[in-house]
Amino acid sequence: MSDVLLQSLITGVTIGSAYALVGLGFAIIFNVSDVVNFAQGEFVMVGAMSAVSLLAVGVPFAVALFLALVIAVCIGLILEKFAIEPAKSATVVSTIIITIGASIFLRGLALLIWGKDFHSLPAFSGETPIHIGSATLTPQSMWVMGVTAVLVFLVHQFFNRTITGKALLACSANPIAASLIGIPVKRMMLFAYGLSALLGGAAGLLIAPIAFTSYDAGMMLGLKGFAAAILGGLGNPMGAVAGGVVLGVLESLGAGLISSGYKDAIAFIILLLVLFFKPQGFFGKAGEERV
Amino acid sequence: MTSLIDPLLKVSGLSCRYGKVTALRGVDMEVNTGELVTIVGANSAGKTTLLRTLSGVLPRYKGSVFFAGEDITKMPAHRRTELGICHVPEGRLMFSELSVADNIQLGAYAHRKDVSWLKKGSDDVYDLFPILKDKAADPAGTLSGGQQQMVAIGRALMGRPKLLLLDEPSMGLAPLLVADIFRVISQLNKDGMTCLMVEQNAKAALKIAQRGYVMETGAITLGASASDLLANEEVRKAYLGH
Repeated sequence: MSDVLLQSLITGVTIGSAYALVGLGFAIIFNVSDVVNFAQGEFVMVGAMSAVSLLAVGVPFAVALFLALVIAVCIGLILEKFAIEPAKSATVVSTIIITIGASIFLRGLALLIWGKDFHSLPAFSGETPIHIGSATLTPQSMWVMGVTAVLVFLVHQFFNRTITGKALLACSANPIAASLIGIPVKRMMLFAYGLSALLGGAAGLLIAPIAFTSYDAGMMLGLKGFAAAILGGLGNPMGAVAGGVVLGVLESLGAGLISSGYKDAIAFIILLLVLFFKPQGFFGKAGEERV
Repeated sequence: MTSLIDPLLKVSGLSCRYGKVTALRGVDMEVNTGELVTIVGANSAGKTTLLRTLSGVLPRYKGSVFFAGEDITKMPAHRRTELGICHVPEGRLMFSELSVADNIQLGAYAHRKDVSWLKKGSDDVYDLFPILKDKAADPAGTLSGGQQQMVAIGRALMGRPKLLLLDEPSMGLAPLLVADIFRVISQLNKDGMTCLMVEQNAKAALKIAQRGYVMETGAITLGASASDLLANEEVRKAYLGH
C-alpha cells in the first residue's frame, strides 16, 4: 500500500508541477489585469506541438525546445497585442470572453496545422528510471520537477526583488498611479502575457514526453492550471504553484486508490468545493484595504 | 527654442472631453520655474481633469501643452514622467499591497538604472517624513490617510520632478496634518521645486502660493498673484468662506 502511495506521490508532484507552471501563468496575468486568461492552456499546447514539428524536420533537440519556447512567447505577445490591447476599454468579463475566443481560435488553428494525431516528445535524458522501494522515478520526472522549481524560484525573485517585477504588480494595484510614475502600463501587459506564455510553453515541453500532446491538449491542462490558481487563491503566484502540486498529488492519489477513471473529475470536484467553501483560495489575500 | 524667460509649463486653449461632456474648455495658463502656483475652484470644476491631462493619463481634445519649450501635447504619460513631470494624485492612489518602501522606490521607475539615486532619493524622502522609515516594511494600504499622503509625495519626489503636480494634497486629512503637509510643500518650493497645486482648501493654498488661478466649470476665470486673490472680494465670497 505504501508503495502505491509513494508512486502516486511521485506521479502527482510531476504532473502537479506542470499544473503549477500553468497556474503561475494564470496568476501573473490576473495580477496585472484582473483578467483570467483562458488561452493559457493553448500556450502549453503550442509549446509542445511546435517542438514536435521542429524535431520532425530535423532541428537538433535543444534548439527545437528553445525555438518552441520562442514560438509560445510570440503567441502570447500576439494575443495581447491584437486581441487584448485593442479591447482596452472592454470590461474584465468581456476580456475574459475574448481569451476564451482566442483559445478556441488557437485550437482550431492547431487542428489545421497538426491534425488530430497524438504526438509525444522523447525524454530529455533517457528513460532509465531510479527505483525507490518498488516505486520508480523517471529522469523526465526529475526534469519536470527540477525545471519547475527553478522557474518558480526565478519568478518569485523577479516579483520580489526587481523593480520591473514590482512595477508589474503596481500596474495591477493601481494602473493610473502606475502611469503617473512613468510605468508604461501597456508594455507591461505585453510583458506579462509573454512571461505567462513562456511558463505555459515550458510546461508543455516538460510534460510532453510523459503525457501525449495533441491539438486540444491545452484545454484540459489549462483548466487544471486554472483550478490550481483558484485553489491557491487567484492572484497569488506562489499559491498557484502550491495549488498545482496539491492538485496533482490528489489527482494521482485518487487515480491510484479509487479509480483512474475519476482522475479528471477529482480536479474539478476540488475546484467546485474550493469555490463553494473558500472562494478566496487557501493562500488568497482577504479583499479588504484601507482607502 | 528654450529660453530662460519662457515659462516652464505653458498651456494654451486646452480642452478635454469625457464622451460628450466637456470637462475643460480652452484652458490657458502657465507656470514659471521656481513658482508655486495653485488652482482653486469648486468640486467638479475640472481641476483634477486639468492635472491628469497635463500628466498625459487623459487625452486632450484641443489645445497644446509645452514643457520646458518642448511640445508635449501628444506625449504618453511615461515619457512625461521621464521629462520630470511628477504627479501626486488625488486620493493618493497607493499601491496598497506593496510595502511603503516599494511604493517609494517605484516612484523612481523612470530612473531605475540610476542605483545611487534609488538610495539617495529614498534617504531624502525618509528625512522629509521620518515616520515613513518606521513603516517602510508595512503594506502602504495599512497606513493612515496622512501617512499615505506622505508616501504619495515621496513617491513623486523619487521621479526627480522639475514640475510637481499636487492634486488635493489636503483631502480627507485632519487639520493638524493639513498644516504639516502644506508646510512640507512650501518648504519644497522654497528649496527650488516648481509646483502646480490644485486645492479645495483655497485659503491655505493661496497662503503658500505665489500665484493662483480660479477655475469654474472647466475654464480659468481669473488669474492673479496669490495675495491679490486672497484680497479679491468675489474670491473671498466664493472660496474663502467670508
